[in-house]
Parts: sequence; C-alpha cells; structure tokens
Amino acid sequence: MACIEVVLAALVLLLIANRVNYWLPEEHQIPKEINMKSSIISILIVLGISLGIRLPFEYLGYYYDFIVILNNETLHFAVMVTLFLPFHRIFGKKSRSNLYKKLYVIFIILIWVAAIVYTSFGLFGIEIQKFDLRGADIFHLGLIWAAIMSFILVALTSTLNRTLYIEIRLPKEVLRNSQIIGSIVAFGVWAVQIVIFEMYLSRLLGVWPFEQDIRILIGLVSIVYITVFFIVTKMIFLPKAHEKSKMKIQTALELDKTSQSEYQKGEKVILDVKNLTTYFFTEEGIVRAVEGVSFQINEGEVVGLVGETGCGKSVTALSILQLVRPPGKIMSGKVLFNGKDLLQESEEILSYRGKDITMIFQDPLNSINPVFKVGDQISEVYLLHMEKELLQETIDHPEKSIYSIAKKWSENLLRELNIPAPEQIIDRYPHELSGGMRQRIQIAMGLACSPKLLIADEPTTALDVTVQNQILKLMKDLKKKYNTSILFITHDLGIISKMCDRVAVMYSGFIVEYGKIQKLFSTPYHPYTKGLISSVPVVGKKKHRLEIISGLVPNLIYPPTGCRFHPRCKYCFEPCDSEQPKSIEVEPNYYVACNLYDPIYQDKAELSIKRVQEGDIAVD
Amino acid sequence: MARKQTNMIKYIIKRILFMIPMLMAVLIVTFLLSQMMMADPSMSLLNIGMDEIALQRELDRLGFRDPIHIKLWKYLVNFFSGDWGVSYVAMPGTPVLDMIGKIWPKTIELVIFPIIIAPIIAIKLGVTSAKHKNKNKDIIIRFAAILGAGFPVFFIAKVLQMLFFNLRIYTFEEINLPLMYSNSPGYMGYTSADIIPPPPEFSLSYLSVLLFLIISIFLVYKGAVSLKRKKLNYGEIDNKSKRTKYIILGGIIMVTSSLLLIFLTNVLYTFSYGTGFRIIDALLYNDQHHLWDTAIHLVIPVICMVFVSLAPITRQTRSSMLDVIDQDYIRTARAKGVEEKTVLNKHALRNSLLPTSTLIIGNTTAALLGSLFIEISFNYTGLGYYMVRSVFMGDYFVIQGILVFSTIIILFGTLLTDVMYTIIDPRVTYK
Amino acid sequence: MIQVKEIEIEDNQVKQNRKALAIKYLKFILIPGWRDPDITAREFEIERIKSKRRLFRRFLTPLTIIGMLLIIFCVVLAVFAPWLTKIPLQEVTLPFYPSDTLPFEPPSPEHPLGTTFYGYDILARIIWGARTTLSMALVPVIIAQVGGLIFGTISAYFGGWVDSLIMRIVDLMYVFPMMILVIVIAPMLGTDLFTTLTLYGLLFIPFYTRFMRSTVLQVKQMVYVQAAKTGGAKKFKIMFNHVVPNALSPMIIRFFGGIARTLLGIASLAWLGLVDQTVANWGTDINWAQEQFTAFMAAVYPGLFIGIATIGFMLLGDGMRDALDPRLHI
Repeated sequence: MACIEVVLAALVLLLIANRVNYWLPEEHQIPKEINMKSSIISILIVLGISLGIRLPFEYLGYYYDFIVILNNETLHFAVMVTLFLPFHRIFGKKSRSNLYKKLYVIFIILIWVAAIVYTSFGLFGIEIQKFDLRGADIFHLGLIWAAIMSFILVALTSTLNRTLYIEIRLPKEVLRNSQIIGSIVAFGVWAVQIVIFEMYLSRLLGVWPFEQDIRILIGLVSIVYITVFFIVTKMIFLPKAHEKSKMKIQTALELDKTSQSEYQKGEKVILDVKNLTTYFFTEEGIVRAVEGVSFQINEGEVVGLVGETGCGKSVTALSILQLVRPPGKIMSGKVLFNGKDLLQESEEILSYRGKDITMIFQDPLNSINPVFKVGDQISEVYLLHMEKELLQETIDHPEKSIYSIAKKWSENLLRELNIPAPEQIIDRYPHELSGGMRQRIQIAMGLACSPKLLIADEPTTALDVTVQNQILKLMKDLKKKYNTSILFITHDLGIISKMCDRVAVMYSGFIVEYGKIQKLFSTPYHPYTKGLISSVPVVGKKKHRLEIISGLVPNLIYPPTGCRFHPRCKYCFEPCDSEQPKSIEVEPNYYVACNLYDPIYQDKAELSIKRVQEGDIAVD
Repeated sequence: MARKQTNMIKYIIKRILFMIPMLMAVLIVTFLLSQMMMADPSMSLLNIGMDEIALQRELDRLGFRDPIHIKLWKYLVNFFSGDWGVSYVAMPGTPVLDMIGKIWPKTIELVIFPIIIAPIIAIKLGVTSAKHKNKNKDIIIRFAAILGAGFPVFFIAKVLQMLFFNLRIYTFEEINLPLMYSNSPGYMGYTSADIIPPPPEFSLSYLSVLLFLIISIFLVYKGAVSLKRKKLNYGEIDNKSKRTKYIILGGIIMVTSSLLLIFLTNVLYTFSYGTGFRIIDALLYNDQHHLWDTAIHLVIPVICMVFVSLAPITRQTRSSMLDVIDQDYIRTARAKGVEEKTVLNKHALRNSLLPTSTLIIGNTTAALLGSLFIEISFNYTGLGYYMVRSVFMGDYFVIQGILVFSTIIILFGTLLTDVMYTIIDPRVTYK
Repeated sequence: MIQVKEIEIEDNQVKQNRKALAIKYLKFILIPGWRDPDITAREFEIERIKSKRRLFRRFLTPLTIIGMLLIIFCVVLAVFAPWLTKIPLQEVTLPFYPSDTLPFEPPSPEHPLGTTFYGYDILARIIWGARTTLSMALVPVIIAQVGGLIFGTISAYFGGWVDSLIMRIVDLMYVFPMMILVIVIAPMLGTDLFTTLTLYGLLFIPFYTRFMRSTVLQVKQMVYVQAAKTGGAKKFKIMFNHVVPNALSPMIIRFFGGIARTLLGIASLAWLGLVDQTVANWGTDINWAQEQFTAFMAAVYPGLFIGIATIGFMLLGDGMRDALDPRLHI
C-alpha cells in the first residue's frame, strides 16, 4: 500500500471507533475527548508499528520471494486493526462490555479472512500489480472512486440538511449515524462487487464479464446510499430520537415534582450580593470599577441602582451574570442566588442566564441582532431553556414541532405586552420597528421564561418621555403578574421614585447609601445623596443659584485615597482622606457608608457638621 | 416576500443593462490597445508565400489600411457576430472564440476546487482566530495566512514541485506525483483528443435528453427550495405531500434522463460530443485512467491556490468578527443564555459575513488571475498560459479575446456580489 | 525704586532633576503600568502622553516586531551591499558574461549558493538585488498614492460632473483585471525600467482614488471644514490645508501594505520576464531558473527573499493599521 492508503485506512478506523463508542449503551461508553485522544494515540502507535514492520519485510523481500507475497496491503491492514484496539482506552477499564469485545473479535476475524484470501493469490502465483500512481490499475481505481463518491454523498447530505427549514431538518445525531451506515453499505457493496469480479473472476479465473464502469458506479453508489439512508433513518434512528426525547420529558416531569418540594416558600431574599469586586486590567492601569458592593434583593420588590455615568452600575449588573469580558475580571465576592453562590459555579451560569436571571440593556437598536427576525430571537429563548415544557406540549399535539410551538408562545408573549398585530411583528426585522417596540421586544426576551430576577440596565434612557412612561407601566404590570424582582439601574431620580421600593446609590464603585426610597428622598444621609437630591430644582421654590456638587468624577484608575468622595465633600474631615468608610446601619435596613455616622469618629463628625451649618448660614 | 422577488429581478435587469455601456467601453479600450500592438502582418504573410498583389488584397481584406473609425466599427461588428479573429502563433489557424472554448474548461477545472474549498477553510480559521484573539492559536493562524499571502505564488509552486518531485522515500514506492502535463512534449499518456471524437453536429436526441435533465434539476430544486423557503404564515397548515411530489417526480426524471444520456453517449454512438471539461468527459466516457491522471495532476496546483487564497479571507473574517464580538447584540445573546460556541458561529458570523462575501466573490474573479501564475508554473494550458504565451509571441487577437473574456467574467462577478448582499443582510435594499 | 533682577540659578541639581524627569517620562511611555508619584501629580500632562504611549504599545505586537526585523534585514542587505559581498555589481548583471563559472553549479565555497543561468553567483545577486527590488517597489506606490490623492480629493471635493466622470473611469479600470492589463501593455511599451514602473503606478491609481474619495467625503462632513468655509476661505485653500491633512492618515497607514503588494507585483512581472533584464531583480532570478528541475535551489532562494521582504512590509502595514486606525481590528 502506498502511504496514502495506509493513512486513509487509519482515518476510517478512527471514525469507526468513534461511532461504535457512540452506539454502545450508556454505561459502557467512554467520554468523547478520552475516546478521541486514545484513538489518535493508538492510531499513531499502530502506524508506527506497521510502517516499522514493513521495513524488514521490504528488505527481506529482496532476498526471499515468499516474503514479497506476504508484503501486501490487506495483511498490513489486518495487522493494523488487530493492534489498534488493544492500545485503545476502552480496554483499560475492567468493566468494558462483552458487546464491544465481541464486535471487535468479529471485525478482526473478517479482516483476517480477507487478508488470507488476498495473500492466497500470491500463493497461486497471481500477479497483483503494485499500486503505481502513473498507471493505476482498475481494481484500486474502482475502490478510490467508490470512496470519493461516498464522501461526496455524505457532504451533499449534510449541506442539504442544513438548507432545509428547521422544522423538517433531521437532528444531527440521526444524520451522522445514517450517513455513516449509508456510506459504509454503499462502499461495501461496490467493494464486494469489485473484489468478486475484478479480482477473482477476471484475474483468477480469466473470466471478463464486463468492464468496470464509473458511470454505473456513480449511479449504483448513489442509489444504494440514498435508499439505505432513508430506510435507516425512518426505521432505526428517528424512532430512537423520539424515544430519547420522550425519556427526557419523563425525567423532567419527575425532576419538577422533586424540585418544587425543595423550593421553600416564603424565602425572602432572592439575590444577595456580598463584597463584589471587579477590576479591569487595561493598558493604562487597573480600573477599579466595583469595590466591595453588597446589597440584597427580596422576592417581588424593585431595587434601584442609581449613580452617575461611570460609577460602575452596569459593571455590577454584568458581574452578577458573569458577562464581564476580558480585560475585566471579577476579583472576589459572593453572589448568592437562592442560596447558591453563582461565582463559584461558572459552568452552570448558563442555566441561570436567560432563565432565572435575565438582563435587558440600554440601547434597543443595537441590542437586538439585526440579521435575524424578531420572532426567531424570542423563540430562541424558549428553545434554549424551556425545552421540556415544549416537549410536553408536543405530546398533546403530535403533528407540531417544538419550533412552531415556540413561535406560538412568543406570539402570545408579545400579545401580553400589548404589541398590536403580533403575528406580523414576529416576521419583521428589528430595523423595521420603532424604538419603543424594540424595547418591548427586549423585555419580551427577558421575561419569556418568567425569571425570578430581571436586571434592567437603563432601559428607558434611549427612549422619549411618552414611550418611557408606557414601558415603565408595562414593567410594573408584569412585575405584579409574574412576581419578578427587578434590579433597575438608572441615573434618573424621577424614574427611581416611580418604580422602586429600595434604592442603592453608587458612587465610583462603592455603594454609599442603601435603603427604602421614602427615607432616601426625605432624609438623605450621605453628603453625595444630599447633594443629588437638593440639586433637583423644586417648582415654586426660588433660589439664587442651583446647588451643585463641586468637583469632577474621580478617575477610576487613580482614585482618591480613603473615601472616594472626599475631595468633593463639604463635610470632609480628618479620617476621610485616609480610611475607607465602612457601611453603617443608621436605621434598621438602611445603610450609609460615611465616616460622619461612624460612632468612632463621632465628635469630629459633630464638629464638621457644625462647621458646614455655619458656612451655610453665612452664605444664605 | 413576493414583493422582494420582483425587485430583485428588476434590479438584475437594470444592472445587466448598465453593463452594456461598460462592455462597450471595455471593447473600445481593448481595441485601442490592440491597435498599439498590432504588427504589420505582411511579414508573416510573405513568409507563407504570397506575392505582392495577393498581399495587397489580403491587407485590404483584413482592413489594415482603413481609417480608425472604420476599423472600430468593423471590430465591434466582428465582436458581436462571433468573429474574434484568428490566432496566428498560439494555436495557428483556429479562430479565437473556438480556442477560448477549448481552453476555458481547463481553467475552470483548475479554479473551481479552490473557489469552493478555500472559503470554507478560511472562514473556520478566521472564526478560531477571532475567538482566541492574541493568543497562540491566533498568532499561528495569522502567520500562516501571511505566509500564504506574502510568498509569491510561483515560489510556493516551485517549492511544492521540489518537494514532491524530488523527494523520494526509499522504503516505499516513490511518491512521485508526475508534473508534466499532457500538453507537454515529453508526456506519453492520454490526451483529451483520444477520448473525445471530433464534434460533427448537434443531435436532437441529445438536446432533448439534456433538456429533460435540466427540467428535472429544476423540479427537484423547486421541491427542495419550497421546503426551505416556505415560511408558513400564521394559520397555514404545512402540506408536505405536495412538495415531496415535486422531489420524487424530479428525481425520477433526473435518473431516467441521466441513464439515457449514458446510454446515448457510448452505446448507441448516435452522436459524439464532449463538454470540453476533462473530468466530466472522462466520467461520461468511462475513462478511469484519464480521470485519475487529470485528478492527480490537479492536486498540487489546487493546494497552491488554496494556500494563497486563504490569507485575505481569513484576515477579513477575523477583522469583521472582532468588530462584531464587541457589539451589544452579542452581549444580549450571551445574556439570553446562548452558549459561546453558538454565539460565535450563529450570531456573530451572520453579521460579519457581509464584507467577507464581497471578498469571496472577489476571490472568484481573482482566481482567474492567480491561476495565471500557477498555469505557467505547472505548464497547464489554460487561459492564463495562452495569454502570456500570446503576449510574448505577439498574437494580438488572442490577447484581445482573452482580455475581453476575463472582463466579462469579472462584470458578472460584481453583479453576483451585489445580489448576494441582499440575501445575506436584510437591511440592504436596492432601489 | 525697587528693581527686581532675575537670577538664573544654573544648578546642577536642577539639571539632574530634569534628566531624571525625562527618564521617568520615557519609562512611563514604554512600560505599562509603571507609576511614579511625581508623574501622578501632573495629570494633565499624562493625558497628553497617555495617548502616545497607548499608540506605541499597541504598535509593538509580536507580529509587528517580526515584520520590522524582516524589513531591517532587507534594508541592511540593500544598504550594506558593497561590504557584504566581494563581487561587484557589474559582474552580476546581464551585459557581463563570467568566464570562470558554469551555469547552475551546485553550492561551493566560492559560490555559497550556486550560480544562475548565466553563471552569476546567486548570493551576490541576491545581495545586490535587494537594492533594486526594494527601490523598484517604492516608486509605483508613490506614484499611485499621489495620483490617488489628487484625483480622489478633486473628485470628492467638487462633486457633480467631475465626480461622476472620475468615478466612471475608476469603475472601468476596476473591471479590467489589473495584472493582465499590465502584462498586456508592458511588452508594448518596452522593458525600460522607468516605463514599467510608471505604468504599474498609473494602473493602480484607481484603487487609491476610490479609497481617498470615500475618506474625503467623510472629512468633508466634519464641522471644521464648514467652519473654514464660513470663514471665507477659498476652495483650493480649504482643500489642501484642511481636508487633505486629515484625510491623509489612512493613506499613510496603507503605505506599507501598498509597498508589499507592489513588491509582489513587480516580482511577478519580472518572473514573467517583462522587466528590464539588466537590472538585478529577484524576480528575474526566478525567471532564469524556472525550467530547471535539478538546480531548483537557484529559484528557491530569491523567492524566499521576495517572500521575506513582502511579509515584513505586510506585517508592518498591519501593525500600523491596528495601532493608528482604531476602527479596524485586523
């Protein structure tokens, strides 16, 4: 065999090993990566051995004729196959199935039979031409064309499958299995034909029934492949796939029952963020975006996160869902959702994202994928997370596929969001819709699976005021209906007052004040909050000048030492520029992070307050 | 949906109409170029033994002495009536259009495999490269791509020739991929002249069978396309049986017509006409050795071309993917819970395909050019080979003909690009 | 009357301080993340230097450094050619037929890489060829870019029929396959070096014209051009003083990429044999060794050097594009 055929045989062995592993029952399977690695290693070892065996054979073949007869391709292939599997991992485990070993033994016996038959030609003195690329002989050529033909057919089937409409498409596993069986059978038929006629009848017995015709090859191989493909798909693999999905539904139903009993009713705190810290490692330096943020969200309440641009609100939200991209990194902290720490289980975050915790973003124009239809994008959420419920529905309506059911559900969802003519909107592209509509679609994507927590990152900033009002009202209604908690991030104090129950004020990565909203607006504690609230002009009250907070937002790479607000604070006193203030509970469930309220510095704080009050009186 | 279709047809018609002035401009430019090149044919005519009076008559007939506008008019008339001149030196005596008809299948055979293979590999590489940005895999892929783009094509061809021609592994048979093509003087194998008998005239039966084949392909396509495109409007019920009927009918007609074709080709000898494509002809006439010969001679040139065309597509895919990955909608997709692999391959790739598709189709038209160098390196007699040989030998009709031919192909290529735009990106509309 | 006299204190300490400060600024530029309290205090200066530092760091990716090394290698070959090889230029180019060597000799101590078709030493030809090949690649790019600049600016700035006319001509040129056109025209005009280079440059003007036109169209919309117009400046003045400098930067970024493509193009032309054969071009080397099957190394070595030079310029061009044009992520 020329090198090419050895390599091709090795590839075929790899493929067969992979597929056989897949077809074995569950308990005998070995994991995919281990299978691949051990297959490759054993192939390399075997190639080395077989090529190494050939050397002495070639050398000796110059001296002894008998060796030349033994030096043929089929024998080498048989030796290769015999040596391949023992090196394979599957024989490492003791509990390996007898089924696999039995298959292996059968395969080995077949190959050795073929090898002995082939070798016997030499014993009978038949000249088998060596494979010369210049004048290749019909036997080898026929096999090569058959192999190329089956490969082309496999590729064609894959492409055709991909162009089909998604409801009619075959699942990937079914396709793979049918393709492999179809190609092996088609190739096998032609190979058997060519061995019988070309090798035995024409060369051994001298009978030439007909000439090997490549056109008949194309036709025969295609027809055999297509028939075998369809038969195998219909008879074996599709029913298997259906059974699998039915089993999935069964297990899902059982799991649902058990998990529902686990859910403790009356559990108040849904999300508990403790000391979340996220840094961005940029070329300029380390941007300390979020430092030690802690807050809690209870069931069914709306918590607002207020702050200026660049204070770290969005980064906090992204860190909860682990959507922070490099160069950002979550350094430390705990995010407890229903008791589980999300930051520890980074592989399982996918099961929470989109299902239990969802997020909607600021700019609806850029936040929806412009090349896919809107309905497809909402259905995607259902298909990802609610597969079991979709499958349950198919039990009742067996002629529908899960795709059409998902589409129906997304249409119902749009109807609930008061979007007119939802059946037309589903087939539209995002650029054909208005801003408010797009934001509603984003909300639909967020609320599709009835999440327990919805994080809204400035959802109304990009919209005009009338639409803003509608969206906020919508979110309030949905909150009541689905009992979702919302983490509302914004910089607009008016929206906060309308929507939220509790508010956390962020400044430069820290939460400076956190508590019920009525208290915040009536008696703000932190100087920053005081400045924010007093800077809003009140209708009817005249002032000479508007109140401002002097200074600029600090650079997050070189933040001020101690309390980050201290350069702009009126009340700044001695420990403020050296020590970070701790979060102090001034009233029950109301936290302020300021040295003014720290009992350690009480006397200095009082002096500072008196100073500022005198200063205020002097100005007025 | 229906409205969009008619707009597309209108747009295509508009573009084709717009192509005609472009074509005229191209013809005028080639004409001017050829006027600059045209040598006095007196010498070659005298060589073949014409005397003085016949020479003058011949020169008048050729229109050698007419003023330039008459020459231009004659040239245009000749062009549109199919008379593109006669080749003097490259294939002496054959009309240029026939010569192109004989040669361009060879170039197409060489070029079609890289056109199909290279984008597939290159897009996959580009996506991997964007995923591991600035890590090891990315640097290796970019470096390999730049190797393909930086080294000239003929250099890579020479290196591959050197490796495969001269490298002998003595423990096995020589891995000796033959380089000489069947047009080279030293080759003693098959030529296409052996398998394709000269074409007498078209046979009606062949035409009818061909027509059936085309109809069947159309039917199957219609069945499959309606399976694909027919997005159900709300309330419609899926009618599978009607569509499968199309496919089955089309399939039966296809099988019967191809069987008839095979039957007619060899057994009955009612006609003898090949397509000109060596691979297809070898398949039609059951010449396995010739097929193997052609295939094995195509391996190294195809590898060369794929290697060289990988670079720009990989680079473009990588750059558009990097642009797209930082966008907001990818963040939304991740927030929806889509796994990273699907985010890249579905959401990001669809959006980044637009400039890449321009490049892929531009690659198609540039494949013509790249094939020029490869053809000369491997002595493969395609369009580029004859072009360069004619330039050196001064056979100006051939030069003109091949220039105009490749220009037409490029024009259609740009039209195809624009049509593809609308399919890929729903935001793009043409008036 | 009190007179205040300025006293210049030329103190060694001050000088030292200035030097230390300069070193600190340099360190700040080159080493990311390096901080010093002195520098931290001067935030406003940092903003100015930061952008330059960012630029520099972005520029120095591993691939760009490799590109620069390759270019430096070729430039060293070109500049120091007389000192690198003892064989003078006249003995390696065409009118000279050496008498003491055979064509296509295998490598020997005198001719470390063998000889070419006419018997020239390959190593010497490569070293001398560096000069000519690199300079031959430079000329068409400059012609093409300057031409593209002029036509693009005119076309974009004036609009109307001028724009349509120029764009139609450009479209026409786009339709032709450029290289084939060059191959067709080059033998007509002769193999004179100057002719070939200007022809090549002229034929690539449309590419840069289209590109320049789109850039200028964008710049035209910007506010400062309108401000200049309201200020009353004349058309040409606006064009050349305001528009061109801002639209120039993408052109500069693509300069090295253009050199790479031109290098490859001229080498391909030379490989076909359409360039002046008395000039020591790497492409003509490969042309002379094209038909050989046994002495293929005579074709491989010059090709290797062409590849090295092209890759160097390509990598450098990519690096510049990455660093200076933040919109593109190539």
